[in-house]
Amino acid sequence: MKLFNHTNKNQGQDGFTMLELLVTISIIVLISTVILVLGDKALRQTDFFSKNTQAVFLAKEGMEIVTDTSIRNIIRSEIELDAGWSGTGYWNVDYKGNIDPRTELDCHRKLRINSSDFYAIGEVGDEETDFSRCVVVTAVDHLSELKIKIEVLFDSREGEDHKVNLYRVFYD
Amino acid sequence: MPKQKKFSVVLRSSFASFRASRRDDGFTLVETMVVVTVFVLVMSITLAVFLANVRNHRRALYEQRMVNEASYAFTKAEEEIRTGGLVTESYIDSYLSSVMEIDNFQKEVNGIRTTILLKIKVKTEENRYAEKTFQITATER
Repeated sequence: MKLFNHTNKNQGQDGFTMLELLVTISIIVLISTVILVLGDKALRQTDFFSKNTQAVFLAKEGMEIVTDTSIRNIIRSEIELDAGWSGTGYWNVDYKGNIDPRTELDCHRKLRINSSDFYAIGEVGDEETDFSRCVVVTAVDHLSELKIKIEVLFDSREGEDHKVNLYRVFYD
Repeated sequence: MPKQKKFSVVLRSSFASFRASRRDDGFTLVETMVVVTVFVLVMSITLAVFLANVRNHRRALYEQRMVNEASYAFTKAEEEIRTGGLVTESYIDSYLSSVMEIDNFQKEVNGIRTTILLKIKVKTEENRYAEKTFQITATER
């Protein structure tokens, strides 16, 4: 006795072929991939803007530190010693007033979290941040004019370096 | 003498009957299992990645909000420091919305420079915390 004899023919349904199903799955995968890629891109951009804001804070802080006349005087005298009346020097500075002379090549060292939790030059063993800050000082016109550039570098999620620059000229 | 059918006719008719029978038969168990397995696998991976993306995106939005609020609070704090005022944790807190919690507040005065470190966090919808650390330095005029 055939109980289920009518199943396919009576309903007139052929069902899908393997090929049809694979094409459907491929389309679903393709659409999902596009959505995921777009979502990921949006996420990277948000992350970039967030880090960029922090970099601007650090650049402003760097400029605030060299605004201090006593720190600027130290920088000026070191330029005078190294390069004469005019020249360019590179420094790492931090909120405590630490001034660390550097070369152009090794100026971009990562800022570290010091024992008081502040972003600082820090010491070996302190936790590294994603940011490095270099103060570039160019003395012109017999040191009466100091052109200061603060460069803050940070890595994005794509592994690319991004830079925030802040400029100011001091006339003494 | 029976008429000999051409080979191409035989092939065409047998292929047609094969296709018809294949259609009527539906899938074999193996076909169904393969398709279902592939589908489940693909959807699981897609869903997992998608959910992770949504979670990260939500956290990033919270972080962006923290950045905005901290920027405003710091602008006010800088003005206060420059004019010789006192900036405390509660001063910063008064410029943050109620969902933001101050996790760490440090202040250090070095001569005329005052440096403030602020770590704020916010609880996301998944009961996790998004957190961000900021640091500013302002000089008293």
